Amino acid sequence: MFQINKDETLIDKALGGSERSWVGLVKRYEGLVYNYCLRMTFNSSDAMDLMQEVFLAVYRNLPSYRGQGQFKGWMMRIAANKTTDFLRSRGRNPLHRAGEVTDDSFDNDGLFQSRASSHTIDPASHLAQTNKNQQIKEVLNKLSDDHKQVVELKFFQHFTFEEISQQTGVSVNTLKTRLYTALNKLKGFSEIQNAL
Amino acid sequence: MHCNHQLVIEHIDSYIEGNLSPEVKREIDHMLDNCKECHSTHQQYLEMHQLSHQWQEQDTPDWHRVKYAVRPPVKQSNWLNWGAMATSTMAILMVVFQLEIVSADRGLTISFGGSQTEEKIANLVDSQLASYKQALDVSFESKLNVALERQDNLSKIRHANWIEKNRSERQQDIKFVMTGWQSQRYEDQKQVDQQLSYIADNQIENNQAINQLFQSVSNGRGRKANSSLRPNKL
Ligand SMILES: [Zn+2]
Repeated sequence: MFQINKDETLIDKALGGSERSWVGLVKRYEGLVYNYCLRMTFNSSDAMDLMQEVFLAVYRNLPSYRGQGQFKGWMMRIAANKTTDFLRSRGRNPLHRAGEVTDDSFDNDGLFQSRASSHTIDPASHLAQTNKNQQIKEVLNKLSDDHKQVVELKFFQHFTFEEISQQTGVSVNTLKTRLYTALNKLKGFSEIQNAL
Repeated sequence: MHCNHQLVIEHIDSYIEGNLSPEVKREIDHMLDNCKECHSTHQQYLEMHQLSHQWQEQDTPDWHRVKYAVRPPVKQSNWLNWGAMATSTMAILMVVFQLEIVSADRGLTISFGGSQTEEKIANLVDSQLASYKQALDVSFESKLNVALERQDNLSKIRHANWIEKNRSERQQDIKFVMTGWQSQRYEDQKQVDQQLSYIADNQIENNQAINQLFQSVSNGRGRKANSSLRPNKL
């Protein structure tokens, strides 16, 4: 896709104080990050919180960005760190223990509509979408956070093992083993077959 | 047969993408046929791949991209008073400009109303410049502090460096002006007395701005330096 402004251009301008360039950069990637966050968390409320954490960290670290066209990978490394922190803090939070988590299948409509008041969503297609997405999330939620992350980055974001290694600081060999173990774990649930 | 799954762990990616040499591919094929674990993992891989494409992208709900992603909100236009900076730059330019006239045509420029001695004038200029410099430092210091609080991490450092650079440049300018004045003063000392009476009778239109400067100095108000220094037009 042709981009009028390269990431680097927007970043430079944003660092120079251009709010519009910053917003332009965020708008370019927020869909990617938001959907990533949706898969990594349980509900749209958590996903919004996590996404905001990610972009806050991106903004704070922007001056140290030295990439040449590697912004997406750099950003996803921040996202990976923030996700780890987020899931870890949620794990410690008694309100968020497994089984007590409020899930999108129950509260999604209210939350989603209130947060996206300016969007008009066809209820039927929205339901179909969230049902499919719901199944995917259920599959991913069978996995530990580490395994979930490698599956996410590999299958949903199509990064190479080398890229994931750079983003997460985990060695390629460990990542390969994790992916194997994660996939192997899923067969017991036959969740994938049901979801398909 | 025994399998530690290592071959499949290592190469399943490339195997599915078809990037393996025929030899390794043959080995993997053999593993998938003979190891139950590897066989099912390979199946899971293909199914997960398929599943991932069924994800329906969700629109990001509306959110405040500046308020929530840029905490605390930064108002870029507010942190530096460009007007004040322009004025101070102008002031320095004017003083330098006047000094050049002093050296080029000293008889004409030193026309401070006759009653002032050169020593007094020089002192006034010194104190004027010193207080002006101090005011400038204080004002920049406070602006710097405000900026530091508002800016984040390295963007903060960026701006701070920028301010520091400008401030030190300004300080150098003022030092230059003051040094110039002092050396000029000694050279002129003897001739000034002789010329004072002549000078008093030769008010030059061109001297309006510098007269205002020394008027404000004799009123003892360094703070007024900005307004009295501001040229009528430029
Ligand atoms: Zn095996």
